[in-house]
Amino acid sequence: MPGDPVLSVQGLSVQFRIGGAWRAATRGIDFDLAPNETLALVGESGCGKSITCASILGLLGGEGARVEGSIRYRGREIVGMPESELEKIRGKEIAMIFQEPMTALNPVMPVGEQIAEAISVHLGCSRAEAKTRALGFMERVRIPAAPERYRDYPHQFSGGMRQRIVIAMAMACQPRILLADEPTTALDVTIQAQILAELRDLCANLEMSMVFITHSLGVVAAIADRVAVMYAGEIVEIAPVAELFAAPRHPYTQALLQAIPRVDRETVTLRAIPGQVPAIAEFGSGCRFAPRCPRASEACQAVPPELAARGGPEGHRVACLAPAPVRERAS
Amino acid sequence: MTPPAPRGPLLEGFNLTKTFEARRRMGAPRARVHALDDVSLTVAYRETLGLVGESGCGKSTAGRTLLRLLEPDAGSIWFDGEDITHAVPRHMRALRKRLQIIFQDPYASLDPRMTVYETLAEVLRVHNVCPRREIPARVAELLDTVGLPPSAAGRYPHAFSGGQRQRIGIARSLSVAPDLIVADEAVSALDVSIQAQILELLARLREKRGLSYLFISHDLGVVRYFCQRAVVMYLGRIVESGPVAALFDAPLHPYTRMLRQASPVPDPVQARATVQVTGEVPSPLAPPPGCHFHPRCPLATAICRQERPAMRDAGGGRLVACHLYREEGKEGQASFS
Repeated sequence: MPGDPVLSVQGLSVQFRIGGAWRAATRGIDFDLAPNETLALVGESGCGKSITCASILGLLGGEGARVEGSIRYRGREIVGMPESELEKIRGKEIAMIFQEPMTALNPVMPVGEQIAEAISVHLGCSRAEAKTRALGFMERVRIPAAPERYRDYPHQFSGGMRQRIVIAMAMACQPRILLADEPTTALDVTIQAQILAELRDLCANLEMSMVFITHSLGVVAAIADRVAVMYAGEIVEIAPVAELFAAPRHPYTQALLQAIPRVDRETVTLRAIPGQVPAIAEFGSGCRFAPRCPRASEACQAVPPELAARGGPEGHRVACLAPAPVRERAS
Repeated sequence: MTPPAPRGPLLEGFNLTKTFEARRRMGAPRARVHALDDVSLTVAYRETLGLVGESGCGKSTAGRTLLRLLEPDAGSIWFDGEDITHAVPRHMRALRKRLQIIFQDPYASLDPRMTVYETLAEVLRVHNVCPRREIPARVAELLDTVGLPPSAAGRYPHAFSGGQRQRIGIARSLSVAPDLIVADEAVSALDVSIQAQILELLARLREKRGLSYLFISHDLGVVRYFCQRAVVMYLGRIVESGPVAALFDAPLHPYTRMLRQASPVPDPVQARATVQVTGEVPSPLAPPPGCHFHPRCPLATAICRQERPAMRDAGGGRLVACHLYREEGKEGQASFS
């Protein structure tokens, strides 16, 4: 990847206090985010993707949660950073959008003013200038008739339009990193396709990096440059997007791809993954996928496998003692 | 394994219309939403019919109306050769044994204070499915059928995961030995690995018990995999129907094409191809005149803005409601002029 990473996560572990004991919800999360890159974190419910994202913004702390490891934003350590410092980074340098846009919008304030407020707070510009910029961003995310809708309230917009407003608000401060946690999951597919296309354009034009969280490999294929597949609190495989879909190596990634019924071709047999994701209190000491894995051996139960290239290219790492062989590439 | 061939209609809706009154805003006249606007569809014996469309298109209303959980304003409903549009409650109760429904969130339809045993035993009792002394054995058999351990019987709904709860919901609907199950987004809230398990279960039941399904879903991939035919709805109307492979590989209606192109596929090359997806579904309170889809349709002409397109036979078991559809030359070769 060209350039120093804007974000570098190393050995991140988030623990929660459950019934008096500290339990690790995520373990040993390592990844870098390059400038202008979109990294997808994909996995099923409870895999730790949202927790990982929240810890990047320094949102986890207090009595019930413990964050260990390192999260460096352009060289500055976020883990343990005082709240006053974090506030300078949140929104302005690293912005976040969520699945449900209403949680981020004030229901009794016109949307245009909300965007303008975010701009004047973070950039300290005049009201008039903030308004001009807010309108510019509303147009940029393709809200039709933006000047007329500047004074409309959130409830007057559809779900897709609300998500566009939240994106405009996040973009307005021109952050270097956008954290997007399932931003299209609640939307219909035709709206989802439009929002994904817009996020791709915005990232390219504003030279912004993005961490995109989703449970859908179909959405990953549409948005990501690189993909980290998570299972039970760990990254099990990380690779450039084309590589991951063409030649997945971890048994979980492979199983996940075979469990998706596809609209673009006939699926003769869908391969369900037997069993279910272990609960946080049931995490074993070895590979957490081993109980459901067709290739698991005794060694897998003992020690957690490290995320490593294992004979493949350096950018494609897999946490498995028996990964699929590296596929010979044609030409 | 492919299910046995369908033989004749089992559940049919003819020209169903259903409107709901929208909440009145101050001073404004009462507005009505046409949730179903002249909808006709047939589920054959042993057939799985998909019903797809975006939020608010009327697909759930169609499912509930066909089961008479909602009363249609107009049109008729036939089940197994009998007109049940006006069947009296006593008769409907008998029919409910044969017509069941499962929902997206089984938790909402399970009593949190009843154990799984109590929930299933109650249905067996109410419908007089078997003599009382056989109830424990029946419950055990049902749990086994849906892949839950015998120990599940004594536990409460909250103790189960989403996938397991869906199994309980399926067990409850199977307790009365139905002929047809309406599955309303039954796998939509589940993670893919669990979704595949539940689809596998539903497919096994279809084979073993000769069940028919009306499978309501917004996920075209799931519908293509699980259903034989599918019906596409937009703003209360059916726009197209046909066998799933033809429907999704070569859609005839521009809306089906848009829906298909917007559906995510796990393939980075395909997923990034430029898609022609524009606009949003308009308010169902004020649907556009003529073809409801015309404001978003790249091909719309004057007639589309004025006249409602009739449903036309496109051959090969396909129907399409589009003014621009023209048959060309040989049968099976159709295109837009």
